[in-house]
Amino acid sequence: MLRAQSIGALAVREISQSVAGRIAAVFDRSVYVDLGCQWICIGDATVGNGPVNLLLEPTPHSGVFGGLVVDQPVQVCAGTVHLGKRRLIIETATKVWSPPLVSDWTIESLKRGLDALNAISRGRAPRQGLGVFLYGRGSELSDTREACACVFPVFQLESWLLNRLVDMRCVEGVPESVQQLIGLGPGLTPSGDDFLGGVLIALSLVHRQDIAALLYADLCPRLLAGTGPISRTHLAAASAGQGLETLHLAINSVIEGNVEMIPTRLHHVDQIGSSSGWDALAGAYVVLRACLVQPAGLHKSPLGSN
Amino acid sequence: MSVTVNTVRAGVFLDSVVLMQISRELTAIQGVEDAALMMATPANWDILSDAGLVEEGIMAGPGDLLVAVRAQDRAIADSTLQRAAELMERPAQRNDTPQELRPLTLRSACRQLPDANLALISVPGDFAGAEARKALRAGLNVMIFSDNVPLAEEISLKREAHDLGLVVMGPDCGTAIIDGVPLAFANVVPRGDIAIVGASGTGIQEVSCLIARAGEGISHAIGVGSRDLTEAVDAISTLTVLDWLERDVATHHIVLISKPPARSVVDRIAEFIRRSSKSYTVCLVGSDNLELPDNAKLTTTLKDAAAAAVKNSEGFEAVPAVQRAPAAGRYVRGLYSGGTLAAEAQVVFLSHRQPVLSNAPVPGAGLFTSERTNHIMIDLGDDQFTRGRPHPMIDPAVRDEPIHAALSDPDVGAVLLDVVIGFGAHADPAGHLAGLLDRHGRSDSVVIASVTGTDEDPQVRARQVSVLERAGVMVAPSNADAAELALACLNIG
Repeated sequence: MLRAQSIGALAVREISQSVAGRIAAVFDRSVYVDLGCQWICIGDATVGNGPVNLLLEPTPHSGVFGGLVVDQPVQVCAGTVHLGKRRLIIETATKVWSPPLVSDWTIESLKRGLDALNAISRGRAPRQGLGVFLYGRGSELSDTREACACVFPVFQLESWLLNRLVDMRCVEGVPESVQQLIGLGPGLTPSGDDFLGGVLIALSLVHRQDIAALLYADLCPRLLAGTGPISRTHLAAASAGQGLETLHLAINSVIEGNVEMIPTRLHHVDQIGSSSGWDALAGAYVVLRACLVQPAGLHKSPLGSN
Repeated sequence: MSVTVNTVRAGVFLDSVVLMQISRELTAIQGVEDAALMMATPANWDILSDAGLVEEGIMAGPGDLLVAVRAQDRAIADSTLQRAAELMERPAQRNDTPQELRPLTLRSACRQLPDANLALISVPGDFAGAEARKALRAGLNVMIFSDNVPLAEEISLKREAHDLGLVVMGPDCGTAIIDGVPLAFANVVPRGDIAIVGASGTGIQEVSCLIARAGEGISHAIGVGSRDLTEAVDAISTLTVLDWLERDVATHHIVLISKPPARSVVDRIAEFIRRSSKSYTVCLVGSDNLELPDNAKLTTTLKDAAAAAVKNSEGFEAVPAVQRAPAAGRYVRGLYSGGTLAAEAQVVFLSHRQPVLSNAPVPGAGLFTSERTNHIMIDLGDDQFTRGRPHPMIDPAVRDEPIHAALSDPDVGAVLLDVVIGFGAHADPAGHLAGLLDRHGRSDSVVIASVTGTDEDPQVRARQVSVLERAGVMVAPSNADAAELALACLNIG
C-alpha cells in the first residue's frame, strides 16, 4: 500500500471526486494518469512538488511503478487511487501544495536578481532548448534548431509584453508569431511550451494575471493540435500561475534579489527534465526584464510593490 | 546520397533526459549525418523538415514521438532506427522484468545465497540504515553505496557491526575489490600483495590503477566512507579493516587514503601502525602534518602513494613534454568527476604556491563561489551537481556545459579533466569528450586529461588515451601529472 505525501492544488481537485481514468504514461519515477478532464502525475518524492503532482511517501522499495502499463485502468474513490493492483491512500491530513509566495521585492531587488541570473546562467544553461535566452542575443545564441527558430517569436513576445506591462491602455493583441513557440523543440514537453509556461507563471508572480489570461486565451485554441497532452497539462497549470516548486523558488529568488540563493536554486532547476527548467526560467526572465522598464508614476503598481 | 528515414511511436512518452541521451547516441553512430527524437508537433515538423529529417509521406500527431535519422546510406539509416527502437525499449524492459524473480528482501536473498557474507545496500539514504541493520543482524558485512545516510545512523551501525565482528563499508562507498571481486565502480587490476583502505572512491581507483600499471597488484581495496576518519565516527571501520588486513597473509603492504583526519583519530591510527608487522603508505590528500612510525611513509598525492607502495616505481609512464607556446589565458579550470582527483589537483597547485579555489577545497585552498579569475577545481560529482542526475562518471554529458564555458573563457589557459573508466562507468567517456571538443571547435585553451583505468577495463585505457590524443588532448599518465602539466603549459611551476 502506498501513501501520499503531498498533492498539488490542481491535482487535489480531481482526486477529491470519484472518477475513472487510465494510466497515460509510465516513467521510472512517476506515472501520468488521464482522469478525463485533467492529467495528474503520481511520482516519488524526487519528482518534486507541483500543481498536478501527487507525491508518494518514500518507501525502501525501488520500482514502485514497475509493472504498470499504459492504458491500465485507474479508479479514484473515497481518498484512494487504485493503480492496477496498487492502492494509494490519500489521507485528509495530506499536505496540499501550492506555490511559495514571493517576499517583499522592489525594482532594485529585481534588477539585482536578474543581473545575477544573467551572469550565472552563462555557461550553465544547456545548449539545447531555450535557456540560452537567459543571456544571449543574436550571435551569442546557440546554433540549435529550436533556438534559431525562436529568435523572432521571442523578440515579438518580448515587445508585446513590454507594451502591455508599461501601458495600461494598450490593446494590442498577442503577435501571431508567438504561436510558433507552441510545441517547438526537444523534450517530452517541448522547449517552446516550457518557455511559454515560464512567461505565464512570471506574469502571475508580478500580479499581471490579466496579461497572462490574454496570452493563454490566445494560445489555448491552438494547443490541442499544437502540442502533446503532458505539455497541455502543464501549460494549463501555468495559466493559473502554478509550476513546479523548484521553478517557483528560482524565480522568487530572482525577483527578491536573493543572489546568494540563486546558484543553489539553479542547481535544482537543472533537474527539471533535460532543459525544461531552463526553458521555463528563460520565459520568466523575458517577463521580469520587461518589468524593469517602468514609466513614471507606475512604481506603486504591483510591478514595484513598495 | 543521403537517406532520411522516420519512425512514429504513437502515444509513446519518454523522459526528456532519455530522449536526449538516445538522440546523442544515434548522432554519434558512424555514417549518421543527423538524428533527432522529438514530439511530432507542427512546430517540430517545420524544424525537422528544414534539417532534412522528414521522410516523405510520414504522418504523426502532436502526442506522438518521431524518430528521425539522416544517414549516408539506407543500410545505416535502417540499422540506426533499429538501434533507436532498442534504446527506447530499455526502460520498458526494466519495468516488464517480473519482480518475483529477484529477491525483494534480505531474508529471501540470504535463502537464495546462504554462503553470502556481504550485502551491498543501494536504496535511498533514508532507508539505507534500516536495511544495513537487517544485514548486520543476518551476519553479513555491509557495503553502503547509498549517500545521505545521517551521521548518527552511521555511527550506530558501525558500532553495532564492530560488536558483531563485522564491518560497515560506507556510506557513500562507491568502490571495493574484495578478494579480487570488484564491487560498484572498480577497475580490472591484477591480484597482488598491496591492500588499499580508503575514504575515497576515485582515490582508491587511481592508486589501484597506478599500481597495476607499474606491474604490481592488489589483494583487497576497501572503502570505509568519507566520514570514517572524523572524530565523530572515530575510524571504527578503518581500524576493523586494518586489523583484518594485519592477519591477511595475502597482504604485505597497506595504502591508507583519506582526507586529513581528526587529530585524535590520527593518534589511534598511528598507534595501530606502530604495532603492525606490515609496512604502510598513508596518503592524506592535502595534509603533510602528521607524525608516523618508521614502518609508514606519508604522502600527499595519490601518485606518490602508488609510487611508495610499489617495489619499483620506474614502471610509471613518463610525463609528456610541453611542446607549445604558453597558453594566453592565465588560469586553469579543473572539471572533475572524481572528488579526490579534484583534491589532488589542488594539492599540486598549492605545492607550487598557486592560489586555487574549489567547491570542495582542501586545506589551504579557497571556497569557490562565483569568482572566475583564479585557478578553479570543481568536483562535478559533488551532491549539489548530482542530485536527481547521473554522476559524471556514468553520464559524461553532465560536464559538457562547464567544459564549453571553460573553453570559451579568455581567462582560461588550460582545462584539466579526469576520465575515469572501469565497471559502472560510461562505455566511452573519451569518445564523448572528443565529440564535444570537435563540436566546440577552436579554442585557445589547452585541454589536459588523465585516464584512471587499466587496459583490462571494459573501455580499454590505451584505446581511451588514443581517442583523446587524436582529439588534441594532452594525456598525462596520472592525475597529479596532469595538474603539473597544466601549470607547465601556463609557464608556472
